Amino acid sequence: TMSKFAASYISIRDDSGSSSLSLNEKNFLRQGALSLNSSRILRTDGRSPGEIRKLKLDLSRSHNAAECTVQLGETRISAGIVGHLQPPVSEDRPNEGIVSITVDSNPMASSSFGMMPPLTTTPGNVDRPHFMSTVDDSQKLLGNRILRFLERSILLGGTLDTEALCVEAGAWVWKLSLSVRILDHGGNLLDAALLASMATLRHYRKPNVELVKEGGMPILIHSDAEDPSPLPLNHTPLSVSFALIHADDVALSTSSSMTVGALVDPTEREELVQTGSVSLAMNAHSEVCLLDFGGGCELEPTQLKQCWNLAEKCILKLCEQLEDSLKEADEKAQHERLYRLQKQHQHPNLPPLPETLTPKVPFWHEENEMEIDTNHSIANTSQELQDAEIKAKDREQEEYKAKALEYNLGHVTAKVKETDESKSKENVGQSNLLAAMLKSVQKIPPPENKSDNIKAMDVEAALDRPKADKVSNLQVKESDTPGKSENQKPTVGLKSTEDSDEEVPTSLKSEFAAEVTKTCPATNDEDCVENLASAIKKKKKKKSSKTKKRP
Amino acid sequence: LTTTRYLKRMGSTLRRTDLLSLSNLRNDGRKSHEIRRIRTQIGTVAEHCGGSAVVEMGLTTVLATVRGPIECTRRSDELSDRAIIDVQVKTAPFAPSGDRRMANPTSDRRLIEQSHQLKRTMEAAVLLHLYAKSKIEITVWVLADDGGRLPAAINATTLALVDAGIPLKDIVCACSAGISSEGGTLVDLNRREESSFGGQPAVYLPCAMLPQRGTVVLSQCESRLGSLKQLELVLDAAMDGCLAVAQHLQAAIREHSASLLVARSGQASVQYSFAMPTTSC
Repeated sequence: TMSKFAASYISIRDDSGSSSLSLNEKNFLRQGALSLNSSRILRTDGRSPGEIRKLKLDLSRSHNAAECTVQLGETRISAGIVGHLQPPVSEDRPNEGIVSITVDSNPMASSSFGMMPPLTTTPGNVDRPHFMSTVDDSQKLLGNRILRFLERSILLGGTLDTEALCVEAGAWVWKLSLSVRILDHGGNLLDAALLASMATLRHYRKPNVELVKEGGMPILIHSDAEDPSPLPLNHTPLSVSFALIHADDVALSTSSSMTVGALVDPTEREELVQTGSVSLAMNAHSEVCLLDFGGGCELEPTQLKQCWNLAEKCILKLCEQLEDSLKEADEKAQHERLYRLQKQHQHPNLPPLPETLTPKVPFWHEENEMEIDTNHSIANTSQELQDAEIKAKDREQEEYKAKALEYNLGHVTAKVKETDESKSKENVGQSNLLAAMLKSVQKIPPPENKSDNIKAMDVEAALDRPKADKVSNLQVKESDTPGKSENQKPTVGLKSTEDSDEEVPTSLKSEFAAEVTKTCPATNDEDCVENLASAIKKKKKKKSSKTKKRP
Repeated sequence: LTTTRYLKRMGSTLRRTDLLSLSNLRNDGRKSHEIRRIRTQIGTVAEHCGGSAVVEMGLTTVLATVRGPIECTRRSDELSDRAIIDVQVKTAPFAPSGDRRMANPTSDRRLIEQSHQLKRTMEAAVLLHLYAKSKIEITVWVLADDGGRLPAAINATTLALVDAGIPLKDIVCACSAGISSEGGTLVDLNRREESSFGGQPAVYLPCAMLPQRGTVVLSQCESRLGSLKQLELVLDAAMDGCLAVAQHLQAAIREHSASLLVARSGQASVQYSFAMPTTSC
């Protein structure tokens, strides 16, 4: 349809459209690609025709969301995914979840782009905003092309089975909203978009769901409390695109030359010169997922097959890189979760939170799900963490018993004994009481012990320097554990100070630091979380059981 | 187990599908390498357009009209050294495709994608450099959809371009191919074979080529295949199908031009000296 071009302002002249490519530049690029003047194919950035640009993946994850930013040379694309629970769309498909893909191309990406609302797979409002008239047709086509490419490879190509997103048949299914934003257009948007989407899908963890009996909205259990599960992807297809540059130019199209130059991963300039393009998507097992040879250029079948073989090699390399980045990012996410739990335990006195994270309103959207905001997550996790601790307490009972019987760990228990002689309190072995004591100390020091408290601190400070060498080992251990730096000062003068109630929490923390380094060898983060949670409570238990055991 | 013995054993409760599977026929009675019946009509909408054609491949019916070369309405669109091609694929409201309900036919992204693919395919075949700063407008109407929408559209567009008298490098013929549940290749899939049934996702590869030059112009596939070898097999089968379609299209063009000669010269019949093509695959 011919839309009326109503220009109400003078648009800035863009330098990256195909109409502004000069003839000299065009000829230069074409000659390089067809190796007309030299023995091999020359590209402007010095790559060989089968080489992909430098790839950088940046992955991050938070509760019920994941994000990936891909930088492929100059091209930068960011993909994000968020999950929602909702009733299924239609009655004749009660088991199928929904994957909604959105592609956003706006002037941030390139000076040749105009303002355009994002294209999405789920049908939105029908009427178009009026500023669509300033958008170039080629931009609409490009957005559509990327959207269809992603839809075909993710939904139609058998990557993600929507039936696996069902929570309760006929009642609740997952809706995954995958949104792809083009940040910089440096050529080859299809490959980068697919790479970003697949990385995000792999990195995302679906939180566990607790069903509510009376048919209300199910509760999402926070990812810090219970381990979320990855999406059930059948395979991970990645794609490689070629720019095809035909030897016979349009002006000489009657010539019978069939030389075609094929360049892998074209830059923006190469894309403007290309006659046609081929894209092939495969997974790491050399299974073809999607083939897209969109015409524009005629190819002999043997040439097409040559392209495919080259694409296969490139894709295998890409898959390796993706796997490495994913593994790294996964480890990083686990470390962050550990860190959040540690922080949580240092500040347990936070205001009580509502039971459920989302109110019982259907289709309620959480706005700030994309950021890793440690304060936010701490506030949400306190309730669930306490539940997790209760579970972990049973485990640490056994663990402590096993540990106490091990004689090679004697030096640890000896240290505990050393510091314990100052506290020959008959503290009852109830961790609840100790927790209350902890809280009371941290909040407001009781007035009658105030002077003692101050005196204790002064003594500690004074003894800081002479005791430095004695407690050097302890300090070194504390510096190993992250986030424990604030404990170094008060725990230094520990060994020789007189006992007082106020030193109980501080000594607890020093032993805790030693404990953590013993029990968390930093390889297995899964157990580390539970160990951490248990180790915090363990001190109180150990102290109490130690006092019990001593005659 | 021959057919007669099987029939005797089964008695009268024999289903059509049993017969078909016994003799390795597809659900519409074709063999695995047989294309559907093609019927063409060139020059249907004669008054307004430069060229038009209707192509029926089996039950899929597509009408294509071509206007041009004309001046570009938007000066920013025109290219200085060649013509541009503007394609729009539309489905008639009485021709829904399966259970896919289109919210807005003009902005349905599948149709936009098919328009784009059709445009790129034609760009490879039309001699664009002869008409600088002009536009060739192609409109395709899908009147009935039984699978193979894109190949039928390409075939119809080719015939419409020939009818409009626009010079082409070669006629573009298109056909689809796929893999059956037994593992053999099929040519010219209908809608039932295109969609995944029985839990088995279908392999569907439409492909367009220039028959006399022997080059491929379009090939798309979005199904999961085992290996590149399988892909090559399916592509070869699709190319064989395209060659079979090409013979039909060439016969149709010759017939049409013969009738035009008759109309112009006023003779009752015309003896034409070039050989009649065979219609077998």
